[in-house]
Amino acid sequence: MSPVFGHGRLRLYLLKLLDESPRHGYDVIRALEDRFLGLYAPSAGTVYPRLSRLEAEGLVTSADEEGRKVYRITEAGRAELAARQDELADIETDITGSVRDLASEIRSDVRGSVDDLRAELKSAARDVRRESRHQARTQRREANAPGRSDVERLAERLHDELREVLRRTKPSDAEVAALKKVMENAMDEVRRVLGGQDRR
Amino acid sequence: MAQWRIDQPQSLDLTGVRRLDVRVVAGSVDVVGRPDAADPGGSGAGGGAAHLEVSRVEGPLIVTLEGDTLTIAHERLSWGGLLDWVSTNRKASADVSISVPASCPVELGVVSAHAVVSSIAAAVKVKSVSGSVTLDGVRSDISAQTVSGDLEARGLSGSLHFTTVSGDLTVVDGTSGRVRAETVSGQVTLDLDVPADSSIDVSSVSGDLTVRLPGTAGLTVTAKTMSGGLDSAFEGLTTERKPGRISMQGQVGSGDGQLRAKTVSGDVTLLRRAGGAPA
Repeated sequence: MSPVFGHGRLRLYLLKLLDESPRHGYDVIRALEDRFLGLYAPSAGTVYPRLSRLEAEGLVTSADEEGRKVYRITEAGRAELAARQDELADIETDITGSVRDLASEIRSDVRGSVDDLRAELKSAARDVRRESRHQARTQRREANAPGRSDVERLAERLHDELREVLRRTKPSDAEVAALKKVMENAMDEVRRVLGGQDRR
Repeated sequence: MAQWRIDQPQSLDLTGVRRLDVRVVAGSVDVVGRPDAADPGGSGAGGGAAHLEVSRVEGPLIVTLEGDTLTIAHERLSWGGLLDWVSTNRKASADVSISVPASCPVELGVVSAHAVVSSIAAAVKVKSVSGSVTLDGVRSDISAQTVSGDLEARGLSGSLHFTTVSGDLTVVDGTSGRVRAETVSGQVTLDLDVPADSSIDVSSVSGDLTVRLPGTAGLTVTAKTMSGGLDSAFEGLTTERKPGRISMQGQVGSGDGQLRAKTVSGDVTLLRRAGGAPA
């Protein structure tokens, strides 16, 4: 915000505010805040010394009204303002530029949050969907053939345990042959239970 | 009544503005509310300061201050005429930035212009044909209609009623207890922190409806779709499947509020946010 008021521009802008209407110091500060959407709040320590200097230069006068010092622009002040119209126009462009910049910052900021949220929720939705599809599939399987998933789970456990054991212990040739026999017997038994159908 | 005709870049400072009405065809409209503390004179005389800047204009804008209503409009563009404008070929475009007191209600009508409304604590009404609408920190009731324009809202705390044909609605960090959205093919994505006794009502023909709520939410849920999917991260909802209709119902938490989601072919997804407040 500071570049807007570099190089004596605040002084010029104060003249402009007093040209609009006479104001007391607090009113000037409020008017500045106002133009800056409350984003720039000049302190009394910034504004009052400049008002005093403008008064010393004869560009404004002050009078006590109801206990408050009210500043008014003088003819000399108006002449100064008129002579520096172009500069004033620049300041105004910069100020509004700040309104426009603020809005475009808000727009891109919101857009960013929106994109993030949509991506986040999309992936969360995918997880929820996968989870519930998985559940539905298990339920459907269970409904078609009750107990079937138990059998599959046992087969998986057998497979897992067997692999673990084979990996950890080095079975002898005789042991491997015996295990093979057990597996073949189990498979024969499964086929017998299912009525001798080969379902491979 | 005071009136200005603006056909080149220009700025205006006004006072006594308590309502704002903007109708712009193309370009952009920014409305930024000022904290009321920065409104000298407040609601008394001398308050209601508004600053208008037109930085680009094609086709004159008419600015009118009548009573306490500031109207900024492209010539001959009426509220009812937004859609008519699409079929005509008149050139009318402007970039308009306005600051008003936060307590100023805002009405906005755009054809293809993008709109930003920020920090307003009074009712906001927006109509747009294809322009996107961005709302940030609007703390009062919002009603918005678009044909294909998207609505993106952050940090809204009043009620929201949005109607669109194909625009998407996204609400980030909403703390609103009243949301109603109707769309044909647009997607609805809501991230809400629902207060007690909330009412969330979303419907679409083919658009997906996604709502994320805090784990502490208390809502009675009714969701229906004909050919889409229904999924929930909340437990305790029962899904019923009939030919051509799936529905999901049940209570989340205390169940004192209402959440209704209805779609023909879209998916409905209910997500759960870790913790109580929006991330």
